[in-house]
Amino acid sequence: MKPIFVKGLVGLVVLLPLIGLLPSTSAFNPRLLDTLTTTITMIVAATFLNHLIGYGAGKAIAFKTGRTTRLMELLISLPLFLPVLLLSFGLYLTWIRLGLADQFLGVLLVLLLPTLPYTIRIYTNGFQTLGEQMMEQMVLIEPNRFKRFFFLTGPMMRSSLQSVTLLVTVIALSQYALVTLIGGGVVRMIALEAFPLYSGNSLAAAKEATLWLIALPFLIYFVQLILFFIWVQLVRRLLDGRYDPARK
Amino acid sequence: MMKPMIGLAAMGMLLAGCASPAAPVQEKVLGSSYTSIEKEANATTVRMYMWGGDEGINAYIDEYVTPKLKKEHQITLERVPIETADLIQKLRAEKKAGKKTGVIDVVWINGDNFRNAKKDGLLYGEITKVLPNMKYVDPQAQGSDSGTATDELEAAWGKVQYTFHYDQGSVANPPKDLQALKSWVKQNPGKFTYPEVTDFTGNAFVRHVMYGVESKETLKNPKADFKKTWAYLNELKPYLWKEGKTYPKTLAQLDQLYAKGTVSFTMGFNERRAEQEVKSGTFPKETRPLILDDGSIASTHFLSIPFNAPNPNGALVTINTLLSAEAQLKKFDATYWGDGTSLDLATLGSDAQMAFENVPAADSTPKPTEFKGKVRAELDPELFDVIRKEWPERVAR
Amino acid sequence: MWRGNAWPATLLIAGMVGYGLFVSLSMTTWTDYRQLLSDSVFLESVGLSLYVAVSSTGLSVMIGALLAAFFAKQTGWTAQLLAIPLFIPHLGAAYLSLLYLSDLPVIGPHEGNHFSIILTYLYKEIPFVFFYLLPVYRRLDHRYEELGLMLGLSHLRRFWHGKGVFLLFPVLEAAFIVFAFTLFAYEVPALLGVTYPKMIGVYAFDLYTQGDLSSQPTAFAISVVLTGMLFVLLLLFTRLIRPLTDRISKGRSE
Repeated sequence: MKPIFVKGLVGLVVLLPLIGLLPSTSAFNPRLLDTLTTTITMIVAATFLNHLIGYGAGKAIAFKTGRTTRLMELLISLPLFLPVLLLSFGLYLTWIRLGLADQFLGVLLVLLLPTLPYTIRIYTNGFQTLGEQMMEQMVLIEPNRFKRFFFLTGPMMRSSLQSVTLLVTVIALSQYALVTLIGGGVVRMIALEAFPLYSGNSLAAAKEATLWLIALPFLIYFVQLILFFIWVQLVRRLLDGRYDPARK
Repeated sequence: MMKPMIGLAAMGMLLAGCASPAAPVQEKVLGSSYTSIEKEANATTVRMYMWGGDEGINAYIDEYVTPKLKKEHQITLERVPIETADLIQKLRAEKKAGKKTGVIDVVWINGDNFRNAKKDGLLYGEITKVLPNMKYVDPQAQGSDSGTATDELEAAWGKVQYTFHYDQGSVANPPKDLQALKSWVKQNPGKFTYPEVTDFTGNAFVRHVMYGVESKETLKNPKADFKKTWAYLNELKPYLWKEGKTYPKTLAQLDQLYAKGTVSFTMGFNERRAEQEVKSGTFPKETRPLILDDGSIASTHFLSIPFNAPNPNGALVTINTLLSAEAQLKKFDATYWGDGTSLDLATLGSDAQMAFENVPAADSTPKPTEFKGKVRAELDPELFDVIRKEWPERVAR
Repeated sequence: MWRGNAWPATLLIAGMVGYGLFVSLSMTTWTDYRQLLSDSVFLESVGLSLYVAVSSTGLSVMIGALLAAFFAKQTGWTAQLLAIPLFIPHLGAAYLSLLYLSDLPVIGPHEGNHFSIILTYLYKEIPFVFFYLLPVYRRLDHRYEELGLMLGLSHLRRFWHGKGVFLLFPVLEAAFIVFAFTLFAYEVPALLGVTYPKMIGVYAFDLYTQGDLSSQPTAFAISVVLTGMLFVLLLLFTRLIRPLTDRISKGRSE
C-alpha cells in the first residue's frame, strides 16, 4: 500500500465522523452553565490531584527497583484491569457513611480510580525515557525540588504532563454511571446531562450537550498549550544562563 | 511525601464532619401552616429528580416551572435527570446507612416505585394535608396509585390514558383489538414493536395484553402463570421490528422509530402526547389515536418527597405550585407536554374551567367518547415485577 | 528522595479497590455465588461480553500495531490525526454511532451482532493502541534484525529476535487494558446494546439500581467473581510473561 493512501484513509476515517457535530444553532441552554462549571471544576481538581500523586509515583516506579516497588506497580495498575464500576457499588455504601456520597470530593476521589493508573503509567514511561542519568544530572544542578521542577524537569516532561491532562479530562467526562451513582445527581457533570438525552426522544436535543462533551478536551488542551508556552518563556527569561557552568 | 495523603484525609474529615445542615424536623414541617412553610421556603434551592428522556417535559420544567418558582418564591429549582427506580435504590441505601439529610427534595413517582417506596418507608409523610391546592385535585385520581392507597404520601400531578398512535398514511384500517393487532403485525412484518419491559410504557403494553387475553381470576393472582400473555407476545415476536431480536430500550426510542417511519405504531400513557410531536414535525402529520376494545389503562402520576429531603419546605411549595390551575393548564396544552390534568375541573373557577375547555384537541387526540366502556384500572403493582422477571426469560431471549 | 514516592498512590488505589471488594464480599453469601454460576442469564451475558471484548481488542491491537509499524517509519503530521479520537470521550463516540449508524442495516445500534459497539470501540481504541506502541516501534533497534540476517536465521525467527521480544510485552499490555475496559464498560453498551442478553457491565448495574433489594447481592457477587477472575489473569500475566520478556530483552541488550 502506498503511504499516501494509508495516510489519506486514516485522515478520512478519523475526521469524517466529526462533521455531524457542526453546530446548527447558537442557542445556549442556561442549565448547561451550572453543569459546565461543575464539570470544569471537577476536571481541574482531578487533573491537579492526578499530577500531584501520579508524578511521584511514576518517578518511583521508573527509578526504584525491588519487590516493594514491583508490588506497588501492580497494585496501582489494578483499576485498569478490574471492574471499577462494580467495585464502586461497595464504595458507595461506605461513602454514604463517611458523608462523601453526593459530594464533590466523593466523586473526585472515585474518579481517581479510572484515571490515576493511566497517569502513573504515562509518568513512568516519561521518566524512563528521560533516563536515570539525566535525572541525576538535574539533581546535581538544582537541589531544590520545586525549583528543579519549574526550571528543568517540568519543561522536559512537557509531553507527559500534557498527555496526563488530556487523559484525565477524557476519562472523567465519559463517566456517567460512576458519577450518577456516587454524585447522586447533585454533582452534575456533563455526562449526566447527555446520557438521558441519548436514550431520549430527540437526538437533536442531545447535540448541544455532546458538543461540549467533545469540545471540552480540545479547549482544555488548548489552554494547557498556552500555559506551557508561558511557562517555557518564563523559564527562558528567568534562567538567563543561570546553570551555564561557563558563566561561573 | 506523606503530606498530600494527610492533606487529603483532613479534607475528607472536614467535609464528612460538616456535610450539610440538618433538615428541619418532619413533625414540625408538616405541623405548621402553609404560610409559614412558604416563608421558610423563600429563596431556597429545590432538587427535583425526574426521568429526563422527553424533550417536551424537560422544557416544561426548565422554561416554565423554573422561572415561575423563581418569580413567585425566589426558589431555585434544579431538575436532575435520573430515573425513579434508580432513586428508590439510592434512598434505600441511604436509609440503610442512616443518612438523615439526603439530597432529593421532590420525586416524580407512581406504580411499583411508589409501592416499594411506601413499603420501605422512604417517603416523607402526609404531605398532601398541608397543601392548599389539594382542594382542586380530583379525589378519584388521588385515592389510589395502581391499587396502592396513597395515604397522603404523594400528590396526583397528572392523569392519563394509555393510547396507541398510528400513522394513517401507512395504516389504512387500524386494528380494533389485540387479535386484529396480531393479524396486522403478521401481515406487516417489522412495522410494530413495543419498548422492553424495564421501560414504564413497555411494561404497561404487556399489562394491556394481560387485560386482553387472561381471565379475570388470573389477573387477580400475581402468582399465576400468565401463559396466554407470553404465548400472545411470542406469536408477535417474529413479526416485530428486527424480528423481535431486540426491542427499543425506552419509549423515547420507540418514538424515534415511529418518527422515522420505521414502525407504524407508537404508544404511551397520555392520550395527548402526540400533539406536540406532530406540531414540531417530529411525528407524521397523519398521526391518529387508537383505543383498543380490550381496554386502556388509566394511570395517575404523582409527586412526592423522600424521607430525608434536605428542603421539605421548598419541596412542598414546589408541589403546591405544580398543582395550581395555571401550571396544570400550561402542562395540559400542547406548548410543551400535553399531559392530562389531575385537577377536578368542577372545583375551579369558571374562568379556569373555560381555559381548560378551550384548549383545542388535535386530530391525534382521541375524543372523550372513544374511551367509553374501555377505561381499565391499573393492575396490581406486583405484576410489574412479574413482567420484569418473566418477560426476559419467556419472551425476549 | 528525588526518586519519587509511590506510597500515596498505592495506598489510595489499593485502599479503594480493596475496600470496595471487601464491602462487596461482605454483602454476599455462598448461595449467591452458587446461584450466579448456574444462572444462564448471567452466563449468556458473560459470553456476549467476551465476544465483544475479544473482537474489539483483537481488531484494535492488530490494526493499531500495523499502523504503528507503518508510521514509525514515516515523518510528517498525519500520525497526529490519529490523536483526535483520543480527545473524544467514549460517551461522545457512542453518540456519533447513534447519529450515523442508526439507519444502517447490520452495523446499526441495537443489533444482536453488536457491530456498532465494536466499531465505536475501534474508533477509540485503535488510536490508543497506536500511541501505546508507536514509541516502542520507534525504539526498535534494527541491528538485531541485521544480525539475524547475517546469522542466516529464518524470517520468522529473525522477526521474533529482532522485534517480537521487544513488542510482546507492550502489545499484550495494551491488549489487556483494552480487553478489561471493553469487557466491563457501561456507557457504550448501555446506549448501543440490545435488550437481551445485556453486556455484563450493564447487567450488573441494572441489577444493582433497579427492581427490589433481592437482586443486589447478585450484583455484588458479579463484582467479586469478575474481579477475582481478572485478578488471577493479571497475576498470571505479570508472573509468567514479564520475567520472560525481561530476561530475553536484558540478555540481549546487555
